[in-house]
Amino acid sequence: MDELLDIFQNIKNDFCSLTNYKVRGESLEIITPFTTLNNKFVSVFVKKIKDKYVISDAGWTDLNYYDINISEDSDDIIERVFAYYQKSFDVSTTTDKAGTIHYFKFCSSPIEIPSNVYDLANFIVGAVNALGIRYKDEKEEKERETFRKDANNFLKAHYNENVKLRKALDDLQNIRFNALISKSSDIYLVSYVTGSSSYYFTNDLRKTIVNFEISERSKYKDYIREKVSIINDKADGYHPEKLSSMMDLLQEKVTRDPIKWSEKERILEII
Amino acid sequence: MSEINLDVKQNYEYLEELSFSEKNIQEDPIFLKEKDNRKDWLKNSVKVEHSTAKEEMSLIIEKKLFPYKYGIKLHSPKFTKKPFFRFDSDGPTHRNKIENSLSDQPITTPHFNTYDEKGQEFAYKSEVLKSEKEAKAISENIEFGISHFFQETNIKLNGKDEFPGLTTKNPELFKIETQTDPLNGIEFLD
Repeated sequence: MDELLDIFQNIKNDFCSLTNYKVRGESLEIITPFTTLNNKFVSVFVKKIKDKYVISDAGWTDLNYYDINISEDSDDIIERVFAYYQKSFDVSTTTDKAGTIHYFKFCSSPIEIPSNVYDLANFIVGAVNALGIRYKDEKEEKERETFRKDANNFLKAHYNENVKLRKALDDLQNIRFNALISKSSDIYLVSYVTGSSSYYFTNDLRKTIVNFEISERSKYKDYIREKVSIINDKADGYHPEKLSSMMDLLQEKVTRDPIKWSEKERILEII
Repeated sequence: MSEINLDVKQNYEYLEELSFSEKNIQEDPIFLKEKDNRKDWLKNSVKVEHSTAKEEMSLIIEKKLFPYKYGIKLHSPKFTKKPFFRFDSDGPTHRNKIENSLSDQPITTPHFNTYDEKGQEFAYKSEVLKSEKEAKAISENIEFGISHFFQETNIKLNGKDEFPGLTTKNPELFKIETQTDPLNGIEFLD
């Protein structure tokens, strides 16, 4: 029993020793025991203003003092994550003259300060860690980008000026095809199917099926000579055994059998 | 498991060579420019010549006007993406997970940051920074910080044990007093 209590005491002492402070003019920096995933202890700042106690992050989150490699192009997701955490911990914001956002809480009596410090520190840990998440699947982005480039180059090499990449039919602007090839008055719609996992691959296949289906409603329907899908059979996500029912569906929507990338020369026979 | 810097892990001796072998800079004074996106930050980087390695290397100096904070870094983007040796005058305490005892893990600022042989980032205080008085003086004066950084990383100014001055388009910016209260002048409660 004594030994177990010693263990507890040891843990408690070490945990408590993590909480530290720095005096900064009229503010007190509390170095809390909470850390971000990149090993930074979260600090909060306490100051008495008028008859209230303000507990603030001093702008450190917005200034990226926690040194997070922030994922680009994810502003919308980050905004939602911050809003979620702010609401959960009842955190307010203000902006200083330089435009830095300060996240803060306030209370009226000293007895409430620890609880507010605890909440603001938890808010910072959650929000800062969320900034570092890669919301986009890099492997998938790379896979898609590489295949798109290869397929685009192939089409451009053979059809030159007749190829328009990432193009929509004039009357269906929301539906873009990977390529639209025009020859005299004939239109050829081309859609690529790829994915780094079977989940992404199936999704891409589904999108192709839907796009071809919608193209039936275009006023240019009678000019659409062929609907061609190019299947990246070299992709990690290409598992024909899992795709058979979807492939059957695709077969109904295209005018030609889907073309595997490994047999891409067949495109030249069709277009 | 924290993020591992594989460039460093695979070539730790090179990191040591880049960090501690003699280096030289020629620029004096160093002109700090306002950052485009953050007008309260001044920044610039200058070329560093290494005595043995032919690596492209730069010394980056950043200074925030209020509350006073600055950082000095060595960066070789072809060796590794992030700066491999840094000094932070202020900001968060670092947790050194490599220490077995939890109570030994926090390293408050000011401190240096670099990597160990496993590619794990860690912070440390030099003997000078372990003295509270000296650490305070250094964290409040960027010129002391540059001098200390040059000693720690063996950088000379044109072959001499000197360090460069700093200048900026608006010298008034350097006259701003070191403001230690980060919550001063901010409107929290309307």
